[in-house]
Amino acid sequence: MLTVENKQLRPLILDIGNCNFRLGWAGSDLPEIIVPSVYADATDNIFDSDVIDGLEDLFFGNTTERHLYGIEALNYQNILKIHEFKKENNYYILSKFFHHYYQKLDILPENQFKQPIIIITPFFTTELEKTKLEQIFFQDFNFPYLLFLPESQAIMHALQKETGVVVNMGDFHTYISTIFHGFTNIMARDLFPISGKDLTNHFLNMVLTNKSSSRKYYLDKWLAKEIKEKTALIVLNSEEEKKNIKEGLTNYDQIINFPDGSSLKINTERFMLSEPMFDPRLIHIDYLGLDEAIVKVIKSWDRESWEEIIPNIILAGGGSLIPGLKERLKLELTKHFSDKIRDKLNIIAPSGRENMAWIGASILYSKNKLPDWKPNPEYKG
Amino acid sequence: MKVSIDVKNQFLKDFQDKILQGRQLLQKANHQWASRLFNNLYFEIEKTDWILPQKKRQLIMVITNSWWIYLNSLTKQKASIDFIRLIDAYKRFFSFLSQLDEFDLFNNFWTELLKIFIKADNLNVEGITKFINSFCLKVKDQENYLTLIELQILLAYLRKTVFPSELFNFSLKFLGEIVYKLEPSKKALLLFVFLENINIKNQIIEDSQEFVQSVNKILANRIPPFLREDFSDMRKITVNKLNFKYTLSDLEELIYYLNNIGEFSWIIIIIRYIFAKLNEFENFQVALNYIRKFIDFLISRNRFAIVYEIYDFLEDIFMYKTELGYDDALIELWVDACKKFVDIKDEKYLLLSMEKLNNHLRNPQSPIQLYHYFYTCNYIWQFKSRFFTLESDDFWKMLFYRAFYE
Repeated sequence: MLTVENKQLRPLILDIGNCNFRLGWAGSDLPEIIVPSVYADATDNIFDSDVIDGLEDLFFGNTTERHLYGIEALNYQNILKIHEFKKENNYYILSKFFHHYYQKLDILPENQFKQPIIIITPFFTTELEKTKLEQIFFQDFNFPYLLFLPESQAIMHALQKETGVVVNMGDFHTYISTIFHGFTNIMARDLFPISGKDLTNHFLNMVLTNKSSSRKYYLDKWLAKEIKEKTALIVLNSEEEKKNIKEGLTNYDQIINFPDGSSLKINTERFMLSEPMFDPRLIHIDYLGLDEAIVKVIKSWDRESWEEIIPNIILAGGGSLIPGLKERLKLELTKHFSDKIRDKLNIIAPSGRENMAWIGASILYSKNKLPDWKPNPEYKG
Repeated sequence: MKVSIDVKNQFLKDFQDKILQGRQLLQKANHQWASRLFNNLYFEIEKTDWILPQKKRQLIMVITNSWWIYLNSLTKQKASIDFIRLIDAYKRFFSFLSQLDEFDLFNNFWTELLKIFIKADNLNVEGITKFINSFCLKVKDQENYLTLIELQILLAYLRKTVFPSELFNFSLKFLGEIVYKLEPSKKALLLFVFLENINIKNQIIEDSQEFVQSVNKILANRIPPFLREDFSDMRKITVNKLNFKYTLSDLEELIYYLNNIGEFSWIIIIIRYIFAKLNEFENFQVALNYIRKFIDFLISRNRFAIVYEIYDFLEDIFMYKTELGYDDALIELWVDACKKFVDIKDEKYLLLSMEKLNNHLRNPQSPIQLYHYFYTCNYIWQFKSRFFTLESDDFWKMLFYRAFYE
């Protein structure tokens, strides 16, 4: 089955992230489709007013399709409420979303829904979630085969490693998992409670509480996320940099221009927004810092294995793109290991790491190393 | 309040910049930020003490126009209309208008939107019901019961069935009250004119009498007992070229009678109807001359609101007749209106008429238009100097006319 010559019958790799949805042919370098995992209801406006009723019903009452997906939805981000279906666990929208973008792959009608599907899943995906996905892809779409591929395994293969720690930082989840000579250990993994969305909220709070006394600013979640992605950075010593700024350092100053012509100057906020990762108490979460959580996971293995694991601490996911993360994490991690192995500590932050899992799955397919497929028991070819 | 010219200039410059920015945001479909910017601008205008009320209104009209230009650009898109943007823009625009406390303005824009829907196919019944009823609540608050009845009947026609509601019952009760006051021979005629006028005003179907018959059928089982006989009598009425002169004298009598009993708001309906019919059976000029004679009659009876409505109605007619650009006829119409309101010393309608006049007073393109333009400016100076604060522009335009032409 894996040697099918027809290009359109090659397996499809699907990575449904909380932030981005990736879909493409196995064996390709990059997914054909990378779109935000968002949707909008054409009648669910941000602005709600009872001045005149019925306008939405007039235009959309007779039509059945009222949803917009991905980029099409984001085109209306200042008009419609944007929803994130993965975070909402909305499987109905997930299937519609998949169908919408599946059609964009220009598959001939005779080849439609005949490809095996590889779904990349993080370790904490529950059986219930897998069953629901099976139901969608087997019963609703009638695909012939399905495979749930662990995300960390895919990431490790992308970098051709067999041992290491994967720190995958997403918008909704951050998790740490380890693989030792290709084996996993359920004790040696962790779901870290701070992710991209928490940092966005923290940034929003900082700006609104610190600056609102002098002037009114309007910032919504999407705008705050956009600013965060453009300006955030991580410094080695935040307290010292804060002191320097107070004394007149202007290197961190950045002016944010809002669409209405107003502007906002930020400086300490740029690096303080990521500090909760190293000290979760800043946002009232009672948990270890990211470095401590990584150390805890590594130390779940035998002491002899540490030396092999710590040279391969791999950063993945869109949340790991913040400049300075690699250096800061290395600095914090060295504090937890003895001088003997400290030098071996190495953090790998490959470029294109936001798509790393998908690329890894594609490599696994090319090398013919995929685990066994699950056939659709009710497949009608 | 004394404010330096620099402060004023700076305010105007900021205002212009923000308007441009707002328009750009609208073109980028960034309604959220555009409406925030326009709302802030509106509040800034309102709280600035040194701006005169008439100037404030002008500035607010610039904001209104910005929305209106954008909405028009959306409805005139060559490709299919982007309904998501259109709906949101209209919602925000109506919300903005609702702050202004200018119901006429709201009414005009709402009616324009309604006209788009009337022509659309496959109207969603639930949507149109909500849309019309939500506006009816506002109309009722304004005690504009006449429009309320018109809208309820229009709603019944568009739905092809009556939507039983408090608003509908209230409308028919109000209709019954006015019909009750009339002499028996005029009751069905007023109803007929009223219903036919709904079609003429909203341009629903070509044959207005067919519209009346359809409405009569739709309402048949819902007409309250006190109107049933009059609606039934209406079926006997036909208006055509041959019998119109008899109908016209009946209508004139009806106008005078309605004025005598204080129901003058109904007069404009009959005037509109007479114009439409005279235009159809005779010609435009005859219809126009006939209507103008009612202006003096209504002024003599102190019905200034109706007078203004007649001018407004005539403006609509002239607009369809003439091309865009410098329009002598429309300018003269509003100069005439201003003269009338100056004579009767009615500031409110003078201000409204002058606003209309200024809207039509575009840059002249030929020597004859140039003369006409400054001649009009001289009039504006005279009108303004009686009631309002003058601006330097007005003064120089007047002086130019007097120095060169007088």
